[in-house]
Amino acid sequence: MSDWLSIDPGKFSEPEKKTIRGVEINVYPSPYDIPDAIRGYYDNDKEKFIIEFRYIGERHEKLRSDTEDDHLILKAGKKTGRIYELELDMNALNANAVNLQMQIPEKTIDAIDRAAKTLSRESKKSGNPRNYLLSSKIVDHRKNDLVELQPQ
Amino acid sequence: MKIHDKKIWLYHSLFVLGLFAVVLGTGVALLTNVNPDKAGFFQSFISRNANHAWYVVPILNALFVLCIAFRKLIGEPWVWKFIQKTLDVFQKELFHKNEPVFDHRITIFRRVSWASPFKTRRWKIWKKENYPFSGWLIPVARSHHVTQKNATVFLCPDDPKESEGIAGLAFVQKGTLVVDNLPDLSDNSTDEDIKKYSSETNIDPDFLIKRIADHKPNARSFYAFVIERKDEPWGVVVLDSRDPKGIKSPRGISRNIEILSKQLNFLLEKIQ
Repeated sequence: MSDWLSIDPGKFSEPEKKTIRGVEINVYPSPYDIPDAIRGYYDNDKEKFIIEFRYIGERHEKLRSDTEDDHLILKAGKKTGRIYELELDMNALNANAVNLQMQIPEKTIDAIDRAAKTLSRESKKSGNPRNYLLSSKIVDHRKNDLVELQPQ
Repeated sequence: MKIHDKKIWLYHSLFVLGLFAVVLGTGVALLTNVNPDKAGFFQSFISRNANHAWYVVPILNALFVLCIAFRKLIGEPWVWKFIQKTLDVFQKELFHKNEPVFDHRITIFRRVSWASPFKTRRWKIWKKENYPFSGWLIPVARSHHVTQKNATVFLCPDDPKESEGIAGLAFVQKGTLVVDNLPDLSDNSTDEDIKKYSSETNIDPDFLIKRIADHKPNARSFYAFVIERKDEPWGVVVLDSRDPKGIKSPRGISRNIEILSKQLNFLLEKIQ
Protein backbone atom coordinates (compact mmCIF):
# COMPACT_ATOMS: atom_id res chain seq x y z
CA MET A 1 0.00 0.00 0.00
CA SER A 2 1.35 3.42 -0.90
CA ASP A 3 2.04 6.40 1.34
CA TRP A 4 -0.43 9.17 1.85
CA LEU A 5 0.12 12.27 -0.27
CA SER A 6 -0.47 15.48 1.61
CA ILE A 7 -2.95 18.01 0.23
CA ASP A 8 -2.57 21.76 0.61
CA PRO A 9 -6.03 22.97 1.68
CA GLY A 10 -5.28 26.48 0.42
CA LYS A 11 -5.34 25.24 -3.17
CA PHE A 12 -8.87 23.96 -2.80
CA SER A 13 -10.42 26.71 -0.68
CA GLU A 14 -12.39 28.18 -3.55
CA PRO A 15 -15.23 30.39 -2.34
CA GLU A 16 -18.73 29.81 -3.53
CA LYS A 17 -20.86 32.94 -3.77
CA LYS A 18 -24.19 32.44 -2.09
CA THR A 19 -27.03 34.88 -1.64
CA ILE A 20 -28.35 34.44 1.86
CA ARG A 21 -31.30 36.58 2.86
CA GLY A 22 -30.55 39.01 0.05
CA VAL A 23 -26.86 39.39 0.90
CA GLU A 24 -24.05 37.92 -1.19
CA ILE A 25 -21.62 35.99 1.02
CA ASN A 26 -18.49 33.99 0.21
CA VAL A 27 -18.86 30.47 1.53
CA TYR A 28 -15.64 28.44 1.63
CA PRO A 29 -15.56 24.68 2.17
CA SER A 30 -15.46 23.47 5.75
CA PRO A 31 -11.96 22.33 6.77
CA TYR A 32 -13.60 18.98 7.52
CA ASP A 33 -14.72 18.63 3.90
CA ILE A 34 -11.27 19.09 2.35
CA PRO A 35 -9.29 15.82 2.43
CA ASP A 36 -5.95 16.29 4.13
CA ALA A 37 -4.35 13.42 2.20
CA ILE A 38 -4.91 11.09 -0.73
CA ARG A 39 -3.36 7.83 -1.84
CA GLY A 40 -3.76 5.41 -4.70
CA TYR A 41 -2.74 1.79 -5.03
CA TYR A 42 -3.49 -1.29 -7.01
CA ASP A 43 -5.33 -3.97 -5.05
CA ASN A 44 -4.23 -7.29 -6.51
CA ASP A 45 -7.00 -9.27 -4.82
CA LYS A 46 -9.78 -7.07 -6.11
CA GLU A 47 -7.93 -6.30 -9.32
CA LYS A 48 -8.89 -2.71 -8.83
CA PHE A 49 -7.14 0.60 -8.57
CA ILE A 50 -8.14 2.17 -5.27
CA ILE A 51 -8.04 5.87 -4.49
CA GLU A 52 -8.52 6.76 -0.83
CA PHE A 53 -9.18 10.15 0.77
CA ARG A 54 -8.31 10.95 4.37
CA TYR A 55 -10.08 13.69 6.32
CA ILE A 56 -9.62 15.48 9.63
CA GLY A 57 -10.20 13.15 12.53
CA GLU A 58 -11.34 9.58 12.72
CA ARG A 59 -14.26 8.43 10.61
CA HIS A 60 -17.31 7.41 12.64
CA GLU A 61 -19.97 7.39 9.97
CA LYS A 62 -20.90 4.37 7.88
CA LEU A 63 -20.12 4.30 4.19
CA ARG A 64 -22.53 3.83 1.35
CA SER A 65 -21.39 2.33 -1.92
CA ASP A 66 -22.60 3.78 -5.17
CA THR A 67 -21.89 1.99 -8.39
CA GLU A 68 -21.59 4.79 -10.85
CA ASP A 69 -20.96 2.72 -13.94
CA ASP A 70 -19.32 -0.54 -14.98
CA HIS A 71 -15.93 0.39 -13.64
CA LEU A 72 -16.35 2.77 -10.74
CA ILE A 73 -17.55 2.13 -7.21
CA LEU A 74 -17.63 5.17 -5.02
CA LYS A 75 -17.75 4.93 -1.22
CA ALA A 76 -19.10 8.03 0.50
CA GLY A 77 -20.04 8.87 4.08
CA LYS A 78 -23.73 8.35 4.78
CA LYS A 79 -24.03 11.49 6.92
CA THR A 80 -21.55 13.87 5.37
CA GLY A 81 -21.48 12.74 1.75
CA ARG A 82 -17.66 12.92 1.81
CA ILE A 83 -15.95 10.62 -0.63
CA TYR A 84 -13.67 8.19 1.19
CA GLU A 85 -12.78 5.69 -1.51
CA LEU A 86 -12.96 5.14 -5.25
CA GLU A 87 -12.60 1.67 -6.72
CA LEU A 88 -11.68 1.57 -10.37
CA ASP A 89 -12.11 -1.71 -12.16
CA MET A 90 -9.10 -1.82 -14.44
CA ASN A 91 -10.37 -4.88 -16.33
CA ALA A 92 -13.50 -2.98 -17.29
CA LEU A 93 -11.27 -0.18 -18.50
CA ASN A 94 -9.41 -2.68 -20.71
CA ALA A 95 -6.21 -1.38 -19.24
CA ASN A 96 -2.97 -3.27 -19.33
CA ALA A 97 0.37 -2.74 -17.72
CA VAL A 98 1.73 -1.05 -20.81
CA ASN A 99 -0.78 1.73 -21.18
CA LEU A 100 -2.12 1.86 -17.60
CA GLN A 101 -0.02 4.88 -16.79
CA MET A 102 -1.69 6.81 -19.56
CA GLN A 103 -5.15 5.52 -18.86
CA ILE A 104 -5.47 5.96 -15.11
CA PRO A 105 -5.59 9.75 -14.91
CA GLU A 106 -7.94 10.15 -17.81
CA LYS A 107 -10.22 7.29 -16.84
CA THR A 108 -10.18 8.25 -13.17
CA ILE A 109 -10.97 11.86 -13.84
CA ASP A 110 -13.63 10.91 -16.35
CA ALA A 111 -15.14 8.54 -13.85
CA ILE A 112 -15.01 11.09 -11.03
CA ASP A 113 -16.50 13.76 -13.23
CA ARG A 114 -19.31 11.42 -14.10
CA ALA A 115 -19.70 10.52 -10.43
CA ALA A 116 -19.66 14.18 -9.41
CA LYS A 117 -22.45 14.97 -11.84
CA THR A 118 -24.58 12.02 -10.86
CA LEU A 119 -24.03 12.43 -7.14
CA SER A 120 -24.39 16.19 -7.16
CA ARG A 121 -27.82 15.60 -8.67
CA GLU A 122 -28.60 13.25 -5.81
CA SER A 123 -26.92 15.36 -3.19
CA LYS A 124 -29.04 18.38 -4.01
CA LYS A 125 -31.78 16.48 -2.24
CA SER A 126 -29.86 15.49 0.87
CA GLY A 127 -26.09 15.78 0.64
CA ASN A 128 -23.34 18.15 -0.31
CA PRO A 129 -22.26 18.47 -3.97
CA ARG A 130 -19.15 20.45 -2.95
CA ASN A 131 -17.54 17.27 -1.61
CA TYR A 132 -17.72 15.53 -4.95
CA LEU A 133 -16.36 18.49 -6.85
CA LEU A 134 -13.53 18.86 -4.33
CA SER A 135 -12.58 15.19 -4.71
CA SER A 136 -12.60 15.54 -8.45
CA LYS A 137 -10.27 18.57 -8.30
CA ILE A 138 -7.92 16.87 -5.86
CA VAL A 139 -7.57 13.74 -8.00
CA ASP A 140 -6.97 15.96 -11.00
CA HIS A 141 -4.32 17.91 -9.10
CA ARG A 142 -2.45 14.83 -7.78
CA LYS A 143 -3.04 12.55 -10.77
CA ASN A 144 0.63 12.37 -11.71
CA ASP A 145 1.58 11.32 -8.19
CA LEU A 146 -1.20 8.72 -8.15
CA VAL A 147 -0.18 7.30 -11.50
CA GLU A 148 3.35 6.71 -10.27
CA LEU A 149 1.77 4.04 -8.07
CA GLN A 150 0.81 1.82 -10.98
CA PRO A 151 1.13 -1.98 -10.61
CA GLN A 152 4.40 -3.51 -11.75
CA MET B 1 -13.17 34.13 35.30
CA LYS B 2 -12.86 32.32 31.98
CA ILE B 3 -15.91 30.89 30.26
CA HIS B 4 -14.91 27.31 31.01
CA ASP B 5 -13.86 27.97 34.63
CA LYS B 6 -17.44 27.39 35.77
CA LYS B 7 -17.35 23.98 34.07
CA ILE B 8 -14.13 23.06 35.85
CA TRP B 9 -15.54 24.21 39.21
CA LEU B 10 -18.73 22.20 38.61
CA TYR B 11 -16.69 19.15 37.52
CA HIS B 12 -14.76 19.13 40.81
CA SER B 13 -17.89 19.89 42.88
CA LEU B 14 -19.64 16.90 41.34
CA PHE B 15 -16.70 14.73 42.34
CA VAL B 16 -17.07 15.84 45.97
CA LEU B 17 -20.85 15.34 45.87
CA GLY B 18 -20.52 11.90 44.24
CA LEU B 19 -17.92 10.84 46.79
CA PHE B 20 -20.13 12.07 49.62
CA ALA B 21 -23.10 10.11 48.19
CA VAL B 22 -21.21 6.86 47.79
CA VAL B 23 -19.55 7.04 51.23
CA LEU B 24 -22.83 7.90 52.93
CA GLY B 25 -24.72 5.22 50.95
CA THR B 26 -22.17 2.57 51.89
CA GLY B 27 -22.25 3.71 55.52
CA VAL B 28 -26.02 3.51 55.71
CA ALA B 29 -26.05 0.09 54.02
CA LEU B 30 -23.47 -1.23 56.50
CA LEU B 31 -25.30 0.19 59.50
CA THR B 32 -28.47 -1.72 58.62
CA ASN B 33 -26.55 -4.96 59.19
CA VAL B 34 -25.38 -3.93 62.65
CA ASN B 35 -27.26 -5.18 65.69
CA PRO B 36 -28.42 -1.98 67.47
CA ASP B 37 -27.87 -3.59 70.86
CA LYS B 38 -24.18 -3.91 70.07
CA ALA B 39 -23.80 -0.49 68.47
CA GLY B 40 -23.00 1.36 71.68
CA PHE B 41 -23.01 5.11 71.02
CA PHE B 42 -24.91 4.66 67.67
CA GLN B 43 -27.66 2.46 69.16
CA SER B 44 -30.44 5.04 69.15
CA PHE B 45 -29.40 6.44 65.76
CA ILE B 46 -29.52 3.00 64.08
CA SER B 47 -32.85 2.04 65.71
CA ARG B 48 -34.38 5.30 64.53
CA ASN B 49 -33.10 5.29 60.94
CA ALA B 50 -32.74 1.65 59.92
CA ASN B 51 -36.27 1.67 58.49
CA HIS B 52 -35.34 4.43 56.02
CA ALA B 53 -32.36 2.65 54.53
CA TRP B 54 -34.43 0.86 51.85
CA TYR B 55 -34.96 4.10 49.98
CA VAL B 56 -32.02 6.23 51.21
CA VAL B 57 -29.39 3.84 49.83
CA PRO B 58 -30.85 3.65 46.27
CA ILE B 59 -31.26 7.46 46.23
CA LEU B 60 -27.63 7.98 47.22
CA ASN B 61 -26.51 5.43 44.63
CA ALA B 62 -28.57 7.20 41.98
CA LEU B 63 -27.01 10.52 43.02
CA PHE B 64 -23.56 8.98 42.61
CA VAL B 65 -24.41 7.73 39.10
CA LEU B 66 -25.84 11.14 38.17
CA CYS B 67 -22.66 12.86 39.33
CA ILE B 68 -20.58 10.56 37.12
CA ALA B 69 -22.90 11.18 34.15
CA PHE B 70 -22.79 14.98 34.56
CA ARG B 71 -19.01 14.94 34.90
CA LYS B 72 -18.76 13.08 31.60
CA LEU B 73 -21.15 15.59 30.03
CA ILE B 74 -19.01 18.52 31.17
CA GLY B 75 -15.74 17.01 30.04
CA GLU B 76 -12.47 16.66 31.88
CA PRO B 77 -10.82 19.92 33.00
CA TRP B 78 -7.58 19.14 31.13
CA VAL B 79 -9.57 19.12 27.88
CA TRP B 80 -10.94 22.61 28.49
CA LYS B 81 -7.54 23.90 29.60
CA PHE B 82 -5.96 22.41 26.48
CA ILE B 83 -8.64 24.02 24.28
CA GLN B 84 -7.95 27.37 25.97
CA LYS B 85 -4.19 27.05 25.35
CA THR B 86 -4.84 26.04 21.73
CA LEU B 87 -6.95 29.14 21.12
CA ASP B 88 -4.31 31.36 22.74
CA VAL B 89 -1.62 29.92 20.45
CA PHE B 90 -3.66 30.23 17.26
CA GLN B 91 -4.71 33.78 18.15
CA LYS B 92 -1.10 34.73 17.41
CA GLU B 93 -1.17 33.08 13.98
CA LEU B 94 -4.51 33.95 12.43
CA PHE B 95 -4.63 37.74 12.71
CA HIS B 96 -2.43 40.36 11.07
CA LYS B 97 -2.01 41.97 14.47
CA ASN B 98 -2.73 40.15 17.68
CA GLU B 99 -2.56 43.05 20.12
CA PRO B 100 -4.60 44.13 21.96
CA VAL B 101 -5.90 40.62 22.45
CA PHE B 102 -9.46 41.74 23.16
CA ASP B 103 -9.69 43.24 19.66
CA HIS B 104 -8.71 39.99 17.90
CA ARG B 105 -10.42 36.98 19.39
CA ILE B 106 -11.20 33.34 18.73
CA THR B 107 -14.38 31.98 20.29
CA ILE B 108 -15.81 28.48 20.25
CA PHE B 109 -19.59 28.25 20.28
CA ARG B 110 -21.33 24.98 21.02
CA ARG B 111 -24.72 24.24 19.53
CA VAL B 112 -27.12 23.19 22.27
CA SER B 113 -30.80 22.35 22.01
CA TRP B 114 -31.56 24.02 25.34
CA ALA B 115 -30.14 27.09 27.04
CA SER B 116 -31.22 28.86 30.21
CA PRO B 117 -32.82 32.32 29.73
CA PHE B 118 -30.16 33.60 32.15
CA LYS B 119 -27.56 32.64 29.55
CA THR B 120 -29.47 33.71 26.44
CA ARG B 121 -30.79 36.89 28.10
CA ARG B 122 -33.79 36.89 25.79
CA TRP B 123 -36.48 37.83 28.23
CA LYS B 124 -39.22 38.11 25.61
CA ILE B 125 -39.69 34.36 25.81
CA TRP B 126 -43.23 34.59 24.46
CA LYS B 127 -41.59 35.09 21.07
CA LYS B 128 -41.41 31.67 19.49
CA GLU B 129 -37.76 31.91 18.52
CA ASN B 130 -36.63 32.88 22.02
CA TYR B 131 -37.74 29.75 23.82
CA PRO B 132 -35.00 28.17 25.92
CA PHE B 133 -35.33 25.03 23.81
CA SER B 134 -35.20 26.83 20.44
CA GLY B 135 -31.59 25.75 19.78
CA TRP B 136 -28.65 28.05 20.58
CA LEU B 137 -24.99 28.62 19.96
CA ILE B 138 -23.42 29.33 23.33
CA PRO B 139 -19.78 30.37 23.91
CA VAL B 140 -17.74 27.66 25.64
CA ALA B 141 -14.18 28.95 25.21
CA ARG B 142 -12.47 32.16 24.12
CA SER B 143 -8.85 33.08 23.48
CA HIS B 144 -6.93 34.79 26.29
CA HIS B 145 -8.34 36.09 29.52
CA VAL B 146 -10.33 39.08 28.26
CA THR B 147 -14.00 39.67 27.36
CA GLN B 148 -14.93 36.30 28.80
CA LYS B 149 -18.08 37.56 30.51
CA ASN B 150 -21.30 38.41 28.70
CA ALA B 151 -20.26 36.82 25.41
CA THR B 152 -23.15 36.90 22.95
CA VAL B 153 -25.38 33.87 22.50
CA PHE B 154 -26.84 33.24 19.04
CA LEU B 155 -30.10 31.64 18.09
CA CYS B 156 -29.56 28.48 16.02
CA PRO B 157 -32.82 26.58 15.67
CA ASP B 158 -33.62 23.67 13.40
CA ASP B 159 -35.18 26.14 10.96
CA PRO B 160 -32.08 27.58 9.22
CA LYS B 161 -33.90 30.81 8.35
CA GLU B 162 -34.03 31.74 12.03
CA SER B 163 -30.31 31.36 12.74
CA GLU B 164 -28.46 34.45 13.99
CA GLY B 165 -25.07 35.96 13.38
CA ILE B 166 -22.14 34.78 11.31
CA ALA B 167 -21.90 31.84 13.72
CA GLY B 168 -25.48 30.78 13.00
CA LEU B 169 -24.95 31.09 9.24
CA ALA B 170 -21.72 29.05 9.33
CA PHE B 171 -23.50 26.32 11.28
CA VAL B 172 -26.40 26.22 8.85
CA GLN B 173 -24.16 26.31 5.77
CA LYS B 174 -21.78 23.69 7.28
CA GLY B 175 -18.97 25.69 5.75
CA THR B 176 -16.59 28.60 6.30
CA LEU B 177 -17.85 32.18 6.09
CA VAL B 178 -15.71 35.27 5.67
CA VAL B 179 -17.00 38.82 6.13
CA ASP B 180 -14.77 41.87 6.36
CA ASN B 181 -14.69 45.63 5.82
CA LEU B 182 -17.72 46.13 8.02
CA PRO B 183 -18.61 49.68 9.08
CA ASP B 184 -17.26 50.97 12.38
CA LEU B 185 -20.39 51.31 14.50
CA SER B 186 -20.49 54.17 16.99
CA ASP B 187 -22.86 56.88 18.24
CA ASN B 188 -22.28 58.70 14.95
CA SER B 189 -23.16 55.75 12.72
CA THR B 190 -25.84 56.28 10.10
CA ASP B 191 -28.87 54.06 9.63
CA GLU B 192 -27.21 52.94 6.41
CA ASP B 193 -24.14 51.70 8.32
CA ILE B 194 -26.28 49.82 10.82
CA LYS B 195 -28.34 48.28 8.02
CA LYS B 196 -25.20 47.20 6.12
CA TYR B 197 -23.63 45.72 9.26
CA SER B 198 -26.87 44.01 10.20
CA SER B 199 -27.46 42.41 6.80
CA GLU B 200 -23.85 41.26 6.31
CA THR B 201 -23.54 39.76 9.78
CA ASN B 202 -27.09 38.42 10.08
CA ILE B 203 -27.67 40.32 13.33
CA ASP B 204 -30.88 42.09 14.33
CA PRO B 205 -30.47 45.91 13.91
CA ASP B 206 -32.20 46.51 17.27
CA PHE B 207 -29.53 44.39 18.93
CA LEU B 208 -26.82 46.51 17.26
CA ILE B 209 -28.50 49.78 18.28
CA LYS B 210 -28.54 48.57 21.89
CA ARG B 211 -24.87 47.62 21.71
CA ILE B 212 -24.01 51.06 20.33
CA ALA B 213 -26.01 52.72 23.13
CA ASP B 214 -24.15 50.58 25.68
CA HIS B 215 -20.82 51.60 24.05
CA LYS B 216 -19.93 47.99 23.35
CA PRO B 217 -17.37 47.45 20.58
CA ASN B 218 -18.37 45.63 17.41
CA ALA B 219 -15.99 43.53 15.32
CA ARG B 220 -15.33 44.66 11.75
CA SER B 221 -14.20 41.36 10.27
CA PHE B 222 -15.26 37.78 10.87
CA TYR B 223 -14.16 34.29 9.85
CA ALA B 224 -16.35 31.44 11.03
CA PHE B 225 -16.27 27.73 10.39
CA VAL B 226 -18.26 24.82 11.65
CA ILE B 227 -16.54 22.23 13.87
CA GLU B 228 -17.54 18.62 14.04
CA ARG B 229 -17.51 15.84 16.57
CA LYS B 230 -17.90 12.28 15.35
CA ASP B 231 -18.92 13.49 11.88
CA GLU B 232 -21.75 15.65 13.23
CA PRO B 233 -21.72 19.47 13.39
CA TRP B 234 -20.94 20.29 17.02
CA GLY B 235 -20.45 24.05 17.00
CA VAL B 236 -18.70 26.95 15.36
CA VAL B 237 -15.32 28.63 15.73
CA VAL B 238 -15.52 32.40 15.17
CA LEU B 239 -12.54 34.66 14.60
CA ASP B 240 -13.45 38.32 15.01
CA SER B 241 -11.35 41.44 14.75
CA ARG B 242 -11.93 45.13 15.35
CA ASP B 243 -9.74 45.73 12.32
CA PRO B 244 -11.69 45.79 9.01
CA LYS B 245 -9.04 43.52 7.44
CA GLY B 246 -7.72 42.07 10.68
CA ILE B 247 -7.94 38.39 9.79
CA LYS B 248 -5.42 36.90 7.37
CA SER B 249 -6.65 35.69 3.98
CA PRO B 250 -8.60 32.40 3.93
CA ARG B 251 -5.97 30.79 1.70
CA GLY B 252 -3.14 32.07 3.86
CA ILE B 253 -4.54 30.57 7.04
CA SER B 254 -6.02 27.41 5.56
CA ARG B 255 -3.17 25.22 6.87
CA ASN B 256 -3.46 26.74 10.36
CA ILE B 257 -7.22 26.26 10.30
CA GLU B 258 -6.68 22.63 9.31
CA ILE B 259 -4.32 22.08 12.26
CA LEU B 260 -6.67 23.91 14.65
CA SER B 261 -9.59 21.79 13.43
CA LYS B 262 -7.57 18.60 13.90
CA GLN B 263 -6.67 19.55 17.46
CA LEU B 264 -10.24 20.53 18.32
CA ASN B 265 -11.55 17.36 16.71
CA PHE B 266 -9.27 15.28 18.92
CA LEU B 267 -10.17 17.25 22.06
CA LEU B 268 -13.92 17.26 21.42
CA GLU B 269 -13.86 13.45 21.20
CA LYS B 270 -13.17 13.57 24.94
CA ILE B 271 -16.36 15.50 25.64
CA GLN B 272 -19.81 13.92 25.60
